[in-house]
Amino acid sequence: MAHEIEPSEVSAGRRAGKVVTGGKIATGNRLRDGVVIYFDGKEWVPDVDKAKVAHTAEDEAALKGALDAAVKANHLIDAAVIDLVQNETKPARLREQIRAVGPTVRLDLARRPNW
Amino acid sequence: MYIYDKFDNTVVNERVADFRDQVRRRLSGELSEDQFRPLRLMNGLYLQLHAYMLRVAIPYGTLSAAQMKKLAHIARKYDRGYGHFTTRQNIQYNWIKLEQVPDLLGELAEVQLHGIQTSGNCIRNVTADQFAGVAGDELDDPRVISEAIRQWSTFHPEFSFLPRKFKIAVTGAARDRAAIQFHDIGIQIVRGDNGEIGYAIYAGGGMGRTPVVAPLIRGFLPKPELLSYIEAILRVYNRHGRRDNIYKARIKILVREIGAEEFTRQVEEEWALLRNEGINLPAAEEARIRKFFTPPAYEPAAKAAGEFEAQRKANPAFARWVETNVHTHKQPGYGIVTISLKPVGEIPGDATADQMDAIADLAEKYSLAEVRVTHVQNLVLPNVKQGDLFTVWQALGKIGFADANAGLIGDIIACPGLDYCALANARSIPVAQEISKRFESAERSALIGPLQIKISGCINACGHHHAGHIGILGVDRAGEELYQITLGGAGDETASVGQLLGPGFKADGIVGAVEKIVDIYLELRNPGEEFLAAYRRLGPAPFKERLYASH
Repeated sequence: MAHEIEPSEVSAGRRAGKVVTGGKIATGNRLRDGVVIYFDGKEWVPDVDKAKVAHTAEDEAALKGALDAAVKANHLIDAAVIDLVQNETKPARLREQIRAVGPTVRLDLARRPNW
Repeated sequence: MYIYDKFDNTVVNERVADFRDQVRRRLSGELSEDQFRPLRLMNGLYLQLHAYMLRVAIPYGTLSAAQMKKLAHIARKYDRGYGHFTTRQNIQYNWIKLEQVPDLLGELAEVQLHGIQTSGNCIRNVTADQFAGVAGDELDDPRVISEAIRQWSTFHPEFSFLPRKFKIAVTGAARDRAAIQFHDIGIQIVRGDNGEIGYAIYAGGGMGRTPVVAPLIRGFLPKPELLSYIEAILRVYNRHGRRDNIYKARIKILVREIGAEEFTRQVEEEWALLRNEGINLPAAEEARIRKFFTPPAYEPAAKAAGEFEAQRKANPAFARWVETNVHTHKQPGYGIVTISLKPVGEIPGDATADQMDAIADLAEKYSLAEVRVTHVQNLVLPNVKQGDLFTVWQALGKIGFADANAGLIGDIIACPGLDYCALANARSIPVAQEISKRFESAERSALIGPLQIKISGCINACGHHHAGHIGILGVDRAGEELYQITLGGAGDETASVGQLLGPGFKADGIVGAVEKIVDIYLELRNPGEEFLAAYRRLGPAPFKERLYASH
């Protein structure tokens, strides 16, 4: 049976103990233009809200499989599975929040996630 | 300005063709990312948080108006309409698409620009005093030897895979505006005992996680022998630099570990073998390069001096700007204009394509078609007639770059930080923006006087925080941005590393902390005493005690 991902699996030093992970998503930059993209279950899209969230170890393994395949297919670079805050598609780490939105100092260029 | 000869042009054009093929092979999957990464980095192409970032080299910070126009064009066509001038006197574009980079580099090559020597463990793009050739206080034009170093170092086969990156800076004046003592090699043009021009050589300086002020390893080096001497330094470093540990791989660690004396001994020993090997710049080549930097035909002094004085009297804001942003030119009747890229509340070092175009136009009309980039992330119009200063000031006002804050508290260095940079731990730009807004009153910042705030978003110190009179280092403390303060750093001829004051401040407390430090200084300073001098007299104690009293 699938097990829930434990809070302790949130990467060390990243709000550990403060944020309970709501799950994980797969992300990276598109090789040809560097755009930040997320795996939506079928393809890679720029909208973090559409990212497929893994709540179980099996789901996470599937994300990793998709990620590895995209890297192998020369579609994706700098790929990673990242943590979310609970009940949202909001990444746990500030770095990943900024990747999802854009520079916080240029909100005119920002993407507008639903969080 | 130096103009490429056929060899320079061939080198750059061949590199563009090579990279076009490499990009094609990467996109088709022939090259893996591991194979491709070092190739793209050799052309200044990084991957940052949001996209690829291209760093374009601006050798010794000198640009023609035509080159500036091309930089504007690149921002418009290949990026999102702006660029970021950096502490390395370069420009970075933040939103670059890999598939467009070969065309972009082709366009840059048309104006003799490229991204070579802006990444990797090679000798990086050489930097210099932004007032080179026009400063009233300079002994000789540092661009001549900087250009020679550029040619000598580009694709130098022996020094293309050094233990770590290697940065050389040159100043022609005793007043150091290029922070030479924080470089791997710092070169100062000096006069010897018998009056001849030569060089003082500093080696083993740097910032990063281990800040070191470079020791002077040779007080006087005869002018013709510079290249063989720095080659000897590079050889000793290349042989003994710590390739086993990236954190100990810079020359500063080697010099510190074996001691400046022993390092110097080894360099001198190596130099004895090298100095007659034909490495030095032949006099004819020196003369050829120097011709490109022949001073222009300046007009006789001060036709419009009376008018200039009247404009100053009639416009206090203009007078203030002249006071802070116009420096003494070696030619009477001319001024050196520092264009502050630090409007209140804006992003330090950023300029839009339209602003770059406007500055290029001003350079063409009023500055003999030249622009400089400073390591403080400002631009310079080096040759403006006094009679044109008012017009230039008004034109800069129209593009939002007429702030009279050069060298003052609003003239903040900030690295891109976590807003853009893949290495950063905390944001830098918002902190700079908030400090700039807090001190937006021109009267207040004039009262405070010269004060350099420098902010880095990680320990790599691209924002030169170690050299800030007030330095700010952003760190990640359990997922939260925290800002540490150092005081007493300086990047000038009295170079020193700032001292950590105490525990860091959260994002909502850092601006208040800076303001408190400024208030303590204002209260304790002697009449006319600048911040750095006051800190050096007082030490950290009064700042520490009062800053943390209620913390």
